[in-house]
Amino acid sequence: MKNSLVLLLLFVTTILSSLLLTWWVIAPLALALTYYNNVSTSAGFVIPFVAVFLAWLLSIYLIDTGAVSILLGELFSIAAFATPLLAAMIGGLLAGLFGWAGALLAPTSNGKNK
Amino acid sequence: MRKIFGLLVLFVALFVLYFLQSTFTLGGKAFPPLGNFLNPYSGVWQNTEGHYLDLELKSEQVSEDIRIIFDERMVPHIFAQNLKDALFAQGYVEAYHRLFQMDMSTRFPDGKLSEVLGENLLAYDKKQRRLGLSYAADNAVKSWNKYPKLLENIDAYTAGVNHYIAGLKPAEYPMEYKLLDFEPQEWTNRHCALLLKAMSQSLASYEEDIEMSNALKFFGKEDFETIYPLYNPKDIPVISGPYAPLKTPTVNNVVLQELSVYLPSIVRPRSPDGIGSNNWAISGNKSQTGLPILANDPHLALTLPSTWYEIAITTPDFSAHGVTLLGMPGIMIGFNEHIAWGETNAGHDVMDYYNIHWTDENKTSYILDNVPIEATLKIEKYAVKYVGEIYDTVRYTTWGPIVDDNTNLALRWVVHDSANGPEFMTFISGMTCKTYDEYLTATGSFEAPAQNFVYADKHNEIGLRINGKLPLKAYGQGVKVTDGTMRGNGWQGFIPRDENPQERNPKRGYVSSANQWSTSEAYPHFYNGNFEAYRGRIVHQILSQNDTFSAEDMKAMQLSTYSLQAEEALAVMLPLLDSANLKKARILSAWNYDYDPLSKAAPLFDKWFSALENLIWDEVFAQNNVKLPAPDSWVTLQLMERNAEHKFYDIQATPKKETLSDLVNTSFLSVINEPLTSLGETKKAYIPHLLRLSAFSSDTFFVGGTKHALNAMKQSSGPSWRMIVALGDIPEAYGIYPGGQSGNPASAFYKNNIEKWANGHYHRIPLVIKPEDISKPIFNITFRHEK
Repeated sequence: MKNSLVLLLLFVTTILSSLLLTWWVIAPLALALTYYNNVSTSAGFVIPFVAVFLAWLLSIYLIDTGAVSILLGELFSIAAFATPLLAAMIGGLLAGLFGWAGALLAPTSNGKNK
Repeated sequence: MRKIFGLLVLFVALFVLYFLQSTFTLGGKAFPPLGNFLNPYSGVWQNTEGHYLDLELKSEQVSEDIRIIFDERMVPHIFAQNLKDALFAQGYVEAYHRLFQMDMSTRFPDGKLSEVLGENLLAYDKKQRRLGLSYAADNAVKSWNKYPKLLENIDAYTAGVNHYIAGLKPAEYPMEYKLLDFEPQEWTNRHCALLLKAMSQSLASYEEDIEMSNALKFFGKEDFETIYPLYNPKDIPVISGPYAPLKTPTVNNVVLQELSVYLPSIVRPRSPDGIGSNNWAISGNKSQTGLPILANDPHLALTLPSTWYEIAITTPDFSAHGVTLLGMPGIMIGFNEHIAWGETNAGHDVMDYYNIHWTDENKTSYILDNVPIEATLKIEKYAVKYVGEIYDTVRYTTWGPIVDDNTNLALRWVVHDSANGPEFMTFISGMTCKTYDEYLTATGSFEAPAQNFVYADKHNEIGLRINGKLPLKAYGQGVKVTDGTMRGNGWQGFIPRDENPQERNPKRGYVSSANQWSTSEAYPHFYNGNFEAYRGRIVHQILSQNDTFSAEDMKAMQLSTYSLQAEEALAVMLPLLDSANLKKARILSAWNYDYDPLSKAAPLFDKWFSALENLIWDEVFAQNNVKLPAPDSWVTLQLMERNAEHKFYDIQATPKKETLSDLVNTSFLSVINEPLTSLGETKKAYIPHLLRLSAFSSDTFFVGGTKHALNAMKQSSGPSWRMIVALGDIPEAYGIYPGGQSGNPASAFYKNNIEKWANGHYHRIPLVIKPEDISKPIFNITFRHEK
């Protein structure tokens, strides 16, 4: 339940904060959320990865009419449908790494992370 | 231990973050900063187009409200209360749609591509600076400043561009800025000057001085004049004469130096082969409407985004519609309620090299009129991306810059000169004119690149003037490298504008130009240049018929793929084939000389003629040690038509003495056994993006045409804008260019016109005078005066 809440929180804050701040605000967000919410080390990576991946993917599908996907596909020589996935993977990976670091660096008072 | 691992992961995460904000190269391919580029909030996804919202903006720089309505083809219609506000809006909409293109188009002449594209472009930048285009733009701006009141028009345009740039957030940068990871630069009036200089580089950079000097030394005078004649006797010049007596005496006091050594060839700018244009205007007597019709199709290297931008401007004083060269305010080719106008390239040689005699090894001073003169050293600074600052020293002489330090050649180029008048007003004032006298005055300050300005109006006037700054030269001057030790060897001034070749309402009922010779040899002032031998004659063949023409006929002319060159060449070549070869040549004897995309005869003829030229001119092409200019194809044809036997027919590498028939049959056999493919398949026409990125370029398409046909379409150069205007109380106009209004590759308006253009379609262009007349607007931008 807690993990789901953290995921939802990160999903929403990713979209809202990225509209106002730089795109890499996801890095400190993921770090802070996993640090203060005491999630497991594996969840520390997975939750931010999934939250940001989904946030970026949703944002891209809402923004793109298809034209940019096609152009990027030609530019990077990959299938057009894969370009939003590639972009979302990049965001997810970055958030995942920072989230993982946050989980590892967080105090281990509840023993969950031992 | 866990914390140490956590710190390690954090370190890796920070490294990944750094990497995602950095450009990198993989497998020789450059990649943008992936995080910046691919994130959905400020990256490339934000360049999606689809929903256009009305905008209301404020500016202190507009004096009254301006309304801009984008019609269903995304053409902006500017409604302003005065000219300066209209030009402000023009600057804004051009930047709105084509900012990256404008930026790159000025970096190209300014030698600043390496600032954004890196070290690979440094050598190219150095060549551009050494040509002196940046120096030329500085000179232009200095001379423009002499006209502060008129310059306010350019200031208004510049303010409009900068208003757009200032309002841009990084997420809104054009896609290419994100890809190359740089920011738009502030626009200045100098950028407008640079664009004019870039146009000159494309259209007024013809010269073969070094190669011609070598050819004269190699062949001797008699053969040289046979291979490289100055005039084509079959030509019908732009202005046929008789020419009015001129007040300026012709020049005859220049002694041309003949070289004792061969000159090394240096890499210089070249207009792409096949660049050229057509324009003509018929009077009411030859028109089915009883009033003039004007047609113009400039042939240029085709790019995406397109060279041209379609625009309509209305103020209480005029309503004009046409195309503009991005970054140059005004309408370059277009029409208003009263007149229509257009241009083709005149092709004169206004670029001459002078041989410098240095006094010292370091090339710090040179001899001029027997006196040593110090060269001016100009330090050029390059801020190369990822490298830093690099410096280069360019020597300037009284003639101009030393383009290549490995030679002693200084460049005298009309493009370097300060403007003698308000040249920048040409296309601004031109679009507001109502009569030919007004138009001649408005365009009279235009200097370079010299153009054939064609004109027609609803008062039944037509006219054409070869308009530009043309040097006064002695006979033969500027064909070869000139001795640079005497000032007297320079140009003897310039042809006064009223002595430039021109005609007004000629009896034959039409004026026309297609990059052919400006005049016959009877014109008293000498000129040389790069001229087209066939298209002008085709136009005359058609328009001189005792017939009347409609706008539809004009379309058919612009789309014509008929080649007079092919007809005249095959009339000589086919009869020389032996009987066995003649049977194989049926496809050519049955051919109608049309470069239709499905034609298999057209590419076969091209290959055959090319192979034949290589055999005839083996003396020219077989030289490995010295570069000689290729003879023009009309010279080859003239040689064949006039001479059954000639020493040039003998192939030097064989003991046999060949005849023309031998060469015709040999060349035919060398090409006839190759698989036949259609012209469309052979040509594989396509339109590349400015950065040559295939993702942003067009697909290949089937299209006919050849450089000697009116539809002078080659692989990636050809009719860059086709326009036809039938004058009248309400002008009936048609136009199209191969591209789209938007410079955004993700826009539906980026290349939406290519297919229609390739298929020969035109858009009907109504002259809109009131906003209510735009039936299907996409969106509006309103500017309010901010107090």
